[in-house]
This record gives sequence, C-alpha cells and structure tokens, in this order.
Amino acid sequence: MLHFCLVLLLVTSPVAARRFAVPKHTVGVNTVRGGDDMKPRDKIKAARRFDVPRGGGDDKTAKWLEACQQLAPITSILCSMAPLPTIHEISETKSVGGLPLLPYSSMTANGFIWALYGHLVYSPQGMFVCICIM
Amino acid sequence: MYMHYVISFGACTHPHYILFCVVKWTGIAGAVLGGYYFKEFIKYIPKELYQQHITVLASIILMNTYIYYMFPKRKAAEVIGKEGVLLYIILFSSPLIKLKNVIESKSAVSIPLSFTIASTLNCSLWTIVGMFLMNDFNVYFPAAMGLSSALAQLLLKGIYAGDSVA
Repeated sequence: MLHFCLVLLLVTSPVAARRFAVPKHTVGVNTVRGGDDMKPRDKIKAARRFDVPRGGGDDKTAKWLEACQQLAPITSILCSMAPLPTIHEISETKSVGGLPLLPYSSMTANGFIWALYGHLVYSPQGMFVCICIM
Repeated sequence: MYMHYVISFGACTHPHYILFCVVKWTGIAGAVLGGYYFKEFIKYIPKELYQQHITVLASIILMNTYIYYMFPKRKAAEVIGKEGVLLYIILFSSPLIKLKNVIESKSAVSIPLSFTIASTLNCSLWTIVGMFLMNDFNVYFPAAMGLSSALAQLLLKGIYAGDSVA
C-alpha cells in the first residue's frame, strides 16, 4: 500500500508541481527561510512576495533574469578557478614567492559557510513549503 | 524517509529549481577549490606559518557545523548568513588596501585586469539574482559590495593604466 502511494505520489508530483509552479512571467521569487518554524503571518507575507514581480514582470525581464540566474554560478566557479595558474606556478617552482596564504584559507571558509547557508535556506524541502503556501 | 525523495522529486520540476541549488553548489565548489589551493600552498611554507590558519579554519568549520545541528533552522540560517557577510567584508577589505597603494604610487600594475573584469561580471550577476530573484540580503549585499570594489579597481586601472611605472 505504501509503495503504491509512493508510486502515485511520484507520478502526480510533477503535475502538482506544475499546478503550483510560479508562472514564467513572475520573477519575484523568495524562499521561506527555514520554513518549518514560521508564523502563519510570515507565511502569508512570503507567499505574497512570490506574487510581486520586483523586476518589472514582463517576459523580456523574466528571460533576462533567468539568463543571469544560469550565468551566476558559472562565473562564480570561474572566479574561484582564477588562482589555478598561480598554484601551478608554485608547484613548478616549489616556492610561494612571498604570496600570502590568507586568500586561500578565507576562500575555503567562505565556501564552507555558503554551502551550509545554501543547504539551510535554498533546499528542495524549503522550496516545497513555498509551493504549498502558494 | 520516502517523503524526502518525493519532495525532492517534486521540487526538481519547479521552474526555479536551479536557483535553489546554486548557492549550495557554488559554495561547495569554492570550498573544494579553496581547500586544494590551501593544500598545495602549505607544502612549500614552514609549519609555523600555516598552523594558525589551520586552527582558525577548523574552528570555523566546527562552530558552523555546531550551529547547523543545534540551532533552530531559521536561527541557524540567520547566523550563518550574517557570518558569510562578515567574511565577505574581510575578503573585500584587502583589495581596498591595494587601492590605497595604487593611488599613492600612481601605478595600476598590481591590479589584474582580466580578474577584475571577471569579478565585476560575477558580482553584478549575483547582485541581480540576489535582489530580484532571491530577495535575500545575505546574497545581494556582499555581491553589491564586491561590485563596487571591482568597479573602483577598474576605474583606477583606467586612470593609471597609461602612466604606470613597472
């Protein structure tokens, strides 16, 4: 019975997601930060924020924002890869040449913090709560 | 347990699914790359120079893991987000010191042009995404700060590019 329910849910969930999905032209997306302990008043506020397109709301703006959303992680990773030639040079010459270690240690700490924050705030579970609220 | 997979599967079909993964995965990529650079770097410096860095790094990781597991979800997100902003302020303060040196020496040789352009593009994209799509202060504030820092560097590069003294 449980398996039957699971299969049924798996089949119907894309339909449900589409039913509750944010329309393409709506660009005002927000997440319910840590949704499980949110007050009902805040939930209504968050749901309202979904409906308010902050970037103008037309198709052109939505497409442009979508492009930004897809490009942002790529440029971010490319910027993180910028010190690769320096590290390659250090490995070849076997000398750091007076370079500071701080940028690399802070980069590691920063990456760890953002990974945790992203997992906490922008997880699929948090997003499901958003879909339900809508 | 089943519900977790069902929720994840349903969420994957959402038009803004990518948006909800970018912060986490760019963070993981940054941490992995940063860890690799750190590991390669410490091979060629004496132990007393990197001991302190390892202690601070380990304490940051332990402290945030503790916050992640022990605090309520919303509180943890708030604390970790603000911590990220603080770390960004520290990160962006070092180029500002460099700017002071550039103005004093009237030479923009120390500013790498390609990286500054890439940084401008990256920060402007994150400012737009953080402001209009995520509506998250913890994302757009550091990005906007980085953008202003990168623009200041570009401006100085433009001013002092012609008469730079190598």
